[in-house]
Amino acid sequence: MYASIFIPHFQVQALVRSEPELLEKALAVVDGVPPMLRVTDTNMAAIQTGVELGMTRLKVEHLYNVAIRQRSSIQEHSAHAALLDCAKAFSPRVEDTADDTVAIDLEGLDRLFGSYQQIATQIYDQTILIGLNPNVAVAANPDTAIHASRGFEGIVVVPRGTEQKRLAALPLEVLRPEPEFLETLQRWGIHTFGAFAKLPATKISERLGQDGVQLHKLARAAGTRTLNPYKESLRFEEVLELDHAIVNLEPLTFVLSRLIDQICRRLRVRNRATHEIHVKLDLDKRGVPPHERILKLPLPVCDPKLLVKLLMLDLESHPPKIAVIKVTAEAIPTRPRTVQNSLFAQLAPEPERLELTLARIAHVVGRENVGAPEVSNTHRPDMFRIKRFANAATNNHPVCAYGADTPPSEGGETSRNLHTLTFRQFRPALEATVQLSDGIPTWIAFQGLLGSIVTASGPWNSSGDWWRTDRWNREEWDVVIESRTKGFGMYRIYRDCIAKRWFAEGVYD
Amino acid sequence: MTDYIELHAASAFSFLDGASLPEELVRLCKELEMPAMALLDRDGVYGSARFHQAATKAGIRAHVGAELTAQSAATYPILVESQHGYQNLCRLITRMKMRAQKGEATVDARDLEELAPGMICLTGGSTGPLTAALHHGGMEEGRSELQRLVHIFGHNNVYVELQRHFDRQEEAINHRAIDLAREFRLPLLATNGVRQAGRAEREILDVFTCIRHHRTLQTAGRLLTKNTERHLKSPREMAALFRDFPEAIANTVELSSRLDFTLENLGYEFPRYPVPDDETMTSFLRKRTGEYALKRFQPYGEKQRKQIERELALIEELKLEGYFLIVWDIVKYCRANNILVQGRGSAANSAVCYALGITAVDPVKMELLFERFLSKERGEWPDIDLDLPSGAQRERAIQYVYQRYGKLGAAMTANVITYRGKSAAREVGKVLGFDSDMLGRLTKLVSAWEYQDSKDTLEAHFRTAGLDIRHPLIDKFLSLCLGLQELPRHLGQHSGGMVICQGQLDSVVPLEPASMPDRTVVQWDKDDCADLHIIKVDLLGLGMMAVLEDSIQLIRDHFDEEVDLAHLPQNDEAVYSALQKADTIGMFQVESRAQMSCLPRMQPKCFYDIVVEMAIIRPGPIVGNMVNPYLNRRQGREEVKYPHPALIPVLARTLGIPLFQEQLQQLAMITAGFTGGQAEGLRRAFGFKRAEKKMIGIEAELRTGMQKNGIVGAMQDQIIQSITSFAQYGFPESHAASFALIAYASAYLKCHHLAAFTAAILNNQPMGFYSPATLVKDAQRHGLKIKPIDITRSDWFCTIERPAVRLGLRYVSGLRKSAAEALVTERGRAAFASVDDIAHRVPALRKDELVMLADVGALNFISPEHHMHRRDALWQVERAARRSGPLLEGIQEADEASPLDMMTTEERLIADFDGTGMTVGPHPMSYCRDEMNELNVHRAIDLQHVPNGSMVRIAGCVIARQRPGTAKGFVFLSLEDETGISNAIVTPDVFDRNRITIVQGKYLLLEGRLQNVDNVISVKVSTVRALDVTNATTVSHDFH
Repeated sequence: MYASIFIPHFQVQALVRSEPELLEKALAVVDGVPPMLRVTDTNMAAIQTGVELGMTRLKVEHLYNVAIRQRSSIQEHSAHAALLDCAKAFSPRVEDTADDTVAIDLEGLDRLFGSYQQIATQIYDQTILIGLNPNVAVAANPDTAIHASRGFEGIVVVPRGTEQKRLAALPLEVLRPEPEFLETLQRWGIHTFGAFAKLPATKISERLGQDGVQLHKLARAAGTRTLNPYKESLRFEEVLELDHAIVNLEPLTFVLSRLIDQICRRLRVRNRATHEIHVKLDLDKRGVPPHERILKLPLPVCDPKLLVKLLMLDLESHPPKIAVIKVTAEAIPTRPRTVQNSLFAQLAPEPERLELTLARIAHVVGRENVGAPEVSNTHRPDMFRIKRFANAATNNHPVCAYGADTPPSEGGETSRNLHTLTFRQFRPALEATVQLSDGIPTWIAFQGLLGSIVTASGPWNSSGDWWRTDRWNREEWDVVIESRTKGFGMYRIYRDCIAKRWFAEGVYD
Repeated sequence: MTDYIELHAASAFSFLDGASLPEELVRLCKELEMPAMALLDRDGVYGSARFHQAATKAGIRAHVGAELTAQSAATYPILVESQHGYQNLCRLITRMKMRAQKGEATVDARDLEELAPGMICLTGGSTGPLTAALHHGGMEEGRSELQRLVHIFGHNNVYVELQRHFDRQEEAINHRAIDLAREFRLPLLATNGVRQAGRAEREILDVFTCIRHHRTLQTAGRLLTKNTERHLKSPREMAALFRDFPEAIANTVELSSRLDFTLENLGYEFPRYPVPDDETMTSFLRKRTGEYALKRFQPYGEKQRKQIERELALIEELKLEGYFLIVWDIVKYCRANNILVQGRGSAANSAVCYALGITAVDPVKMELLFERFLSKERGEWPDIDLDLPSGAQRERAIQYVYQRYGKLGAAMTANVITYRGKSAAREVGKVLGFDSDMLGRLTKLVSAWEYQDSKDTLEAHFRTAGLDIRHPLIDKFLSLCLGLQELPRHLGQHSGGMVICQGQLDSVVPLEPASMPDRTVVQWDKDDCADLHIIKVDLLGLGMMAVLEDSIQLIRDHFDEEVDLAHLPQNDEAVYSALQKADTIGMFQVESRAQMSCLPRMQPKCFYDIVVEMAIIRPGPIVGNMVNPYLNRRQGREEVKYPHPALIPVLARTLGIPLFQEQLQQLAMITAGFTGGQAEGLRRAFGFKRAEKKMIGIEAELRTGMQKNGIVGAMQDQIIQSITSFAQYGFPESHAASFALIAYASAYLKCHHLAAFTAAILNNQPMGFYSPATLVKDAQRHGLKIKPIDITRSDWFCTIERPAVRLGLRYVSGLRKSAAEALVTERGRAAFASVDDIAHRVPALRKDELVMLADVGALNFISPEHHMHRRDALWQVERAARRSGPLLEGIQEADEASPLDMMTTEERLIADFDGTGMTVGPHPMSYCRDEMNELNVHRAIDLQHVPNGSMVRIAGCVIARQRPGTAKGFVFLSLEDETGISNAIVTPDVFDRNRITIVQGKYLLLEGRLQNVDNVISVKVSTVRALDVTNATTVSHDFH
C-alpha cells in the first residue's frame, strides 16, 4: 500500500507556516514582476471574499480584508523540504512527486504503526506538526493514493478493489492532464474520473493514443507503477562547530583548511571541482545573522591551498565583526577543467596563480577597481567602467575588450588622426574660478595656478541623460593659460551648467 | 536684422528623424523674421505641402528639397531650383522608393546623374556625403567626393555646407571642408541642420531616435543627440556663430534668391479624356450630357435644361471637362462590369453628374444648392466620391484606374498616421525601458471611453493604478506622451482617395509602393492634395453597397426577380412603417441606437424625411442642440421661427433649424457677410481633422461680420453656436441625400426580400452596428428561418434555401477559407459517407477545424441514418484525424454511435457561440423566461404596453454599450431577449457605482423607471444586477 500527502493551497500554506498569524485571515498570494502581480494561490476565506486566481493585485486590494503576500520560493522550498522530512520519518522509500505532493511506500509499516487508517492519521498529525495542513490518502497503488489525496479532503483510506468506484466522482483536473487532452475530454462532455473510466479503452487508444490510454488507466485507478524514490542531491558541505569562539582570523585559517580539504577530497572522489564556495560563519551573539561570504571563481578549482588562500584574502577584506562559533563551508560542484595547451599558445601565467594574484590586488585596491577600463557608450564625459579580466584559458577574446559592445555612433566619430594631442585628465576635475568677457573665459584660477587666458576655443556644449535625475549639461573650452609661475599651458576647462560651477578638467601635453 | 535663411531643416515628416511639425517650424521662422526657409525631409516631400500652406499664410517663401539617402547611408541634402528640378526630384524619389522594400530605399548614382538638372546639392552636415568621405579616407577621399558632386550637379550647383553645433569633431571636419571649398572654389553655406523647432524638442528627437533604432534611452548611448543645438536659430545667432565666415551667411540669401520654385507652380494638370478626332472634350461632354439627360430626368424640362447649361458653362470655363469625363468613364466601367456604384460629395448637387449617371440624386427635384457643387469665385475643385461595394469589387475599380492611367499616372492619397494616446504611451513607455507588463498597464490607463468625465484625467488614472505622477520618470512619461501627440508616425494609404495626373503623376509628387500589392501611394494626404489643387476621386468601399449588390444577385438567382435600385417603388408603405417603428436593425445608417430613438419621433413619411434623418443624428446637430427643436417643430409642439428674417429661404425646409452644412455656409454668408471663399473655408473646417482649432479663428471672423450686419447678443450667440458646433461634424445635404438613397434601398430589400438581404449582410460582416448574432435573431423574429451550418449543404458564404437562409462555413471559427473551399469542391464530386471519409478526401482540413465543425453541429448531417449528434461527431473526428499508417490508409471506417452523451442545451449554446458567434436555436434568455417571470422582468416586446413612468425590470444579453462624447457621461445599454431589444440609460452616478458590472456583465437585469416619449422607449436605470444565464461567449458592440 502507498500513502500520499498533498498540501492544498501549497503557496498559501508555505507562507502561513512562517507567518502563523495569517492562519485566520483571507490570504491571496501574488507573483509576477512588479507592478503586474497576479494571484497565484489563495485560501478558502479569500475565495469567499471574491478573490480569484489570476486576479491582479490591484483588484484584490479593492476587496475588503484580504491579506496579500508575495509568493516566496524560499518558504515553499522550506515547506517542501519539511514535507519530505515528514514523509521520511515514516519510510525511507519516499517519492518527491511535486512541490505539494509526496508519496510514501507503506510496505511493512503496519507492524510498526498499526493499521493503514492509523498510519494515515499519524502521517496527518505529523504533517500538522510541521505547520502544514494536508490531505492524506492511502491506496493500493501510488497514483490512486496521489489522486485521492488531491481530490478528497482530510484522511482517506481506499480499500483494495474499490479504487475505481471511490475515485469516480473526482474531476478530471485532478489527473493534471495535458491541456489539449483536457479540452478534448471536456468537448466530449467527460468531466469526471468515472465518466472517463466508462469509455472503452480500445476506442480511447484509437483516439487519444498511448498517452490517452495511460490517463484512462489512471482514471480507472488501475495504475501499476512502482514508486520512484527520491534521492538527495549531491551536496559538498562541511560544518564545524567550535568549542571556543574564534576572535582572530589566523586560527580561522586552520579551521577553513580542514573543511576545504575535506570538501576537495570529496569533490575528487566524485570527479568534481568547484567554481563557487559559500562560507557561513555563525557569530557568537544571539539574533545576529551569520556572516556569509561567497567566493566565485572564473574557472573550476579543486586545489585546497588555493581555495583557502582566496577565502582568507576575502575574509581579510571583509572580516566578521563578532567572534565566530560555527563555520560552514559548501562547494558548488562543477566539472573539473581539462586543458590541452596549444604548442603555439602564448605563455601565460597559470590561471590559478593569476587568480590568486588578482585576489591579492583586489584585497588592496578593492574588487571593483580590478580589471580593464571600458569606455561607456554615452556622450557623458569620462564615463567608463571596469570590466573584469577575462580568463585567457576559458575565453578566446582579448583580455581587455575595449568597446566590445559599443554600438556604432550615428553622428560618426572623427578619425583618430584628428586628435594629435595627448590629454591628461585631472580626476576628479579641479574646481576653478573663471572670469568671462562677452561669455568667453579670460582669466582662471585653480589649485595654485592662476593666470590670464590668452586663447579660448569653444564653447563645446554637451548635455544628456535628461530623463534621469542625474542629467548633465556642460560647456567646455580649450584654453591657453599664461601664468607667472608655470608659463604657458593648454588646458580643458568646463562649466557645469546645472551646478553653475567651473572646473579644470585636464591638460594637453 | 541680419540676413540669414535656413536652408537645411527637417520636420517630423522625416518620420522619426525630426521632432517638429512643419507648421511649428514656419511659426518660429516667422517669429525669427526669416523671409524664407527650406524643408528637406528624409527621402521625400511628405511635409512640404503643409509647410508650403503654412508658409504662404505667414508670408514666408517655402523652398522645397529633400535629404536623399545614399547606399553608403550618407544623405544628400538637395534643394530644388526650378520646376524641372522639382519634377526630377519627384521622379528620383519615386524610382528609389519603387524598387526597394519599405524603409530601405536608397538613391541610385546613375539616377542621380540623370535627374540632377534643376537641383542644388549641399555637402551636408554630420550625415552628409563629405563628412562621410572625410571620415573614411581623409582629405583624399573628401576631394574625390566633392569632385563627384561637382560632376553630377555642376560647379554652380554645389555648396559646401558648414554646420556648427558646438562640437569639437564637427569643427575639425568644418576646417577640412573649408580647405576643400577653397581648393574647388566652391561657395560656403551656413546651415544649422535643423531637426527640431526649439531646444525643448530635443527630448522628442531622442525618443524618435530610440524608436527608430529599437533601443531604450538607457541603451541608445551615442545614438542620441549630444546637445540641444539642432533647433531653428535666429539670423543673429547664426551670424554670430559664423562671424569668421560671413560669406557662408550671405550665401544663404544668395542661394535662396536662386530657388525659383515653390509648390505654387506645381505643374499639375488633370488628364485629358481621349475623344474622337472630330470632337473636343467640351463637345463630347455636352453631347453625352444631352443624350443621357433625356433618359435620366423625367421629365426633362426647362428647369433641368437651364441648370445643365449653367453647369456646363462653368465646367468649360474652369476647364474641368476632362475630370467629369474621367469620372464618368470609371462609372461606365463599373456599370459594364456589374459593380454597383453611386456618386456623392459635392457632385451630388450637380445635374450634369446626375445626367451622366455618376450620382443617383436628382438635384433639380431635390432643389439642392448648386453653389455647393462648383464656384468660379471660390476657385474650389469639385469633389466626387464614388461609393462602391467594399472588397474585391472596389479593388477592381481601383485597378481599372491604374490600368487606364499607368502605375505612374495614378495613385492613392496618403493617410498620415499620427501618434495618439495609446500609441504614444506604448512607444514612450518602451523607450523609457518599462517592462511589458508595465507598458500594458500604462497603455490601458490612456482612457479609451469616448466620453471622459472630470475624474477621467490621466493623473487620476495613474493614481488609481498606484503610480505616483510626481515620480520623475512617470512625469517624464506623461510630458513625452503629450509631446508626441499629433506627430506623424508613418504613412498609410487613404481608404479610397485617388489622384490622377496628365502625363506622369510621379513628376508632381513622389510615389511609393503601398503595403497592398499593385497599389501606389503619393506622399501627400488628401488635405494636402486638395490644398495644392490636385483633383482626387474617392473610390470608397461601403459595406452596404456590397450588401445591396449581393442581395440583388441572390434575388436574381433564387427568386428569379430583377431588382433595379434606380427604380425602386417610391413611398413604399412597408419601408416607412418599419422606419416609423424603428424596426431598422441591419438598415444602412438608421440602425444605431441614436437613430432608432429618433425615428419614432421623426415619423418619416417621405424620402426627404430620410435625408433629414441622415443628417440630424450627427455630432454637429446634437451638440448644437438642433435635434429636439427640429423634432418638436415637426410634431407641432414648437413654433417654427427663424433666427433672422433673411434666413427664411435657407432654413424653411428644415423648419428654421440648420441641419446641413450648406445651410451653415449660407448662414455665414447672409448673417456675417462671408464671401464664397470664406464659406468654403468654413466647409473645409467642418471636414477637417483638427476642426476645433480652425474654428476658433473662424468664429472671430463670424462675430465681426455679424456685428457689422447688426446681429448681436443672443441671436449672434445662437447662430455662432449653430455654426461652430458643426466643427463636431455634420452632413452636407447632397451627401445626406445620397446616403438616404442607400438607406431606402437597404430598408426596401429588408422589408421585401428578407432572406436575400439577411444572407448578403451576413456575408459582408463585419459591418454595421450589430453582431451577426443580433442580425440572425432579428431576421428570425421577422419570420425568416435560418438553417444551421451543415457540411453537406453549406458553402463558404451564407446561401438561400428557399425560403430559408443557410449559414455559411465562414461562420465556423478558425476554419480557413481555403480548407472550406476544398471541402465544398470535394463534396461536389461525391457526397461524404462518413467523418472518416471527409478526413480522407479533404486533407486540407486540419484536426482543429474538423473538431470545430463537429462542435458546432455541422457534421451531424453526414449520415442521417445514424442520427449523429455533435458528440458522436466529435468522437469520430478524434479517430478520423489521427492518421493511421500507410498500411491502413485505405481502410475507411463507417460512422458509429459514440458512448458519449448528447450535449445539454447549455453545452450547445456554449458550442454555438464559441464556434460561430451566434445560435440559430432559441435565444438564451428564453431558457430562463420562467425565472424572469418570477422576478417580474418584462420582455422587450411588452414594454410598449407599460405606462410611462412605471418602475420596470428588464433583462437580456448586452449587445451594445455606448458612452458617447456628446452625452455628458451617460451610458446607453441595449439588451436583447427573445422578443427584441430594450434600451436603457445609465446616469453617471449609477454607472460609477456599477462600473464593473456594466462594463463586464454579459447578461444584466436592470431596474428603473420606464420612459415612453413618442413611442421611444427606454428605462432609466436605478439598479443593476449581473445575471447568470449562460456561460456562452456573447459579443457586445462597445464604444468604450
